[in-house]
Amino acid sequence: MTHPSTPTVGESAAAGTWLDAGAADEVWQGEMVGVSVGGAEVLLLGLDGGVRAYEDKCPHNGGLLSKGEFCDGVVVCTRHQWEFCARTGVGLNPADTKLKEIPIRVVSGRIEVLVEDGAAR
Amino acid sequence: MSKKTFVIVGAGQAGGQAVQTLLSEGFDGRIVVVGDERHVPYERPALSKEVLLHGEPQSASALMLPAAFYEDKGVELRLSCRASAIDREHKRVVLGGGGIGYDKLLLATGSRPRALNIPGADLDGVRFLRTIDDSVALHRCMKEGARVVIVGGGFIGLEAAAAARSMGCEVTVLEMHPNLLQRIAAPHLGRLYEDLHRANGVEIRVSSVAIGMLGNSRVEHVICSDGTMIPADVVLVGVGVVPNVELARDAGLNVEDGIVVDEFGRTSDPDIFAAGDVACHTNEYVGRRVRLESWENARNQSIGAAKAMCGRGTPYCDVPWFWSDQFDVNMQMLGLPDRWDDAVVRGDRSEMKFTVFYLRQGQIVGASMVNRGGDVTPTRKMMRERRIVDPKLLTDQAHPLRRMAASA
Repeated sequence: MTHPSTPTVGESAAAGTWLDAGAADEVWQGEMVGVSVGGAEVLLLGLDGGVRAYEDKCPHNGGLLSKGEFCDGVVVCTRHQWEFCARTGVGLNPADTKLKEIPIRVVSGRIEVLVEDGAAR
Repeated sequence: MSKKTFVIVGAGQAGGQAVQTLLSEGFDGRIVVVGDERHVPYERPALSKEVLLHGEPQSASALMLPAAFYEDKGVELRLSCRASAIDREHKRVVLGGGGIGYDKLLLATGSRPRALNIPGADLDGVRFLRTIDDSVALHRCMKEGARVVIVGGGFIGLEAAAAARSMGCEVTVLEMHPNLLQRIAAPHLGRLYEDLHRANGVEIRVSSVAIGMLGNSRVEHVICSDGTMIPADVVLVGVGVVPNVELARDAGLNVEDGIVVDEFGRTSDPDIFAAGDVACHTNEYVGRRVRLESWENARNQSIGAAKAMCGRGTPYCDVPWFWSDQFDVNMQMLGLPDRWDDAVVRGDRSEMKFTVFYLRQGQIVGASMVNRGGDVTPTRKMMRERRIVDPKLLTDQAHPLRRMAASA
């Protein structure tokens, strides 16, 4: 279930919409969860006391990263063992790749992510 | 003194990886890549999966780097070009229109599909799957309702069968051994894949040998050893590969089942290296000399060889790792066990989410993860450390594998 929130003026400069992605306290530190937001698959990671968001899609061949593992600051797509730094999204193995970061904000305890228009797949 | 020239023969994944590593190691000499395909280096795993399914090479990261990358870095690509000999005395690679002198040479010539020596195997419509062009051409033949016969129930044949079935083809797989994946997996896994393919509508015929093909210029039937004639619009032959060792052998390098290299990718000539499908190395985890036909070996052996070419070798030897994707099943395998005295299962076979560990004298010598990729990293760690493990803990899902791997 997703609930579009009212975009704040000046914050939706990119061609996208801020959409609700659930309660911030539901993403535990050190854990990750995949959510479907406005048709986009989003990976939420509890890290450094906050929440980060990436496209829930391995750049290798599109597997859901949320089905993989998140351990010691590393996200692993367990289909083919590609590894990414949870903090930056940068590929660790192989190194020449990067997860797509999704802008995120927390408003009144709710997570909102900026979903690009037409991001549904 | 003029700058050095490093020549790489073979523009597959290992060749492309070597270029990247030479550049990242700061090699500032001349790099020449000779490849007999028309494409810049690319990875092959997707060719029997996404590329075959969609017919689009770009659809699945098959291309490693765009042609512009090589141009920007001043790397010379000699594509659609075949090296015919190595003149070790003068340190030259002989090409059709001349030659190139080298200071160091990397042979990443890969492998080619094994031919089927039966009558009719040269008919039109009998195909192989090795290159991007093969995959795209095969995709075009796999129209809905097309009758596809696949000779060989190994990874390539089965992945292609899954893709063909997903495209609505009528698919038959012939495997000469009693079990699918005979060469690489334990019999129970072969049977599991037999069930998986049958459930998806693929006709699987094990212990079935193709002895001929019939047709008027185009293949129309495959004849089996029991006399059965299977109608075919297209036939894919997937009966393994043969390493492209001819250049090395003719040059007098040490060649067995592949070009023999040490842990730095060095051949018996200190200025010539080899990596990828074509090279065989002594693998201390397997306990014998192996030639690995895998994505990871093409990558890491090539990295090791390229570094050694720059004089900064780090030994390469690891627990072999393979994967295969068929329908919705992802299988990953560690090791190449040929003997074990115990096999235990973690997880649920009926839900197609389990790992089998093969143990010998208390050590994990191999493992197969079916839809349980998360078990790979901790298992590999324990295998690298040759840990003596408690089989009961391996099967106890309440006991995280990671914790088991972390504890010394």
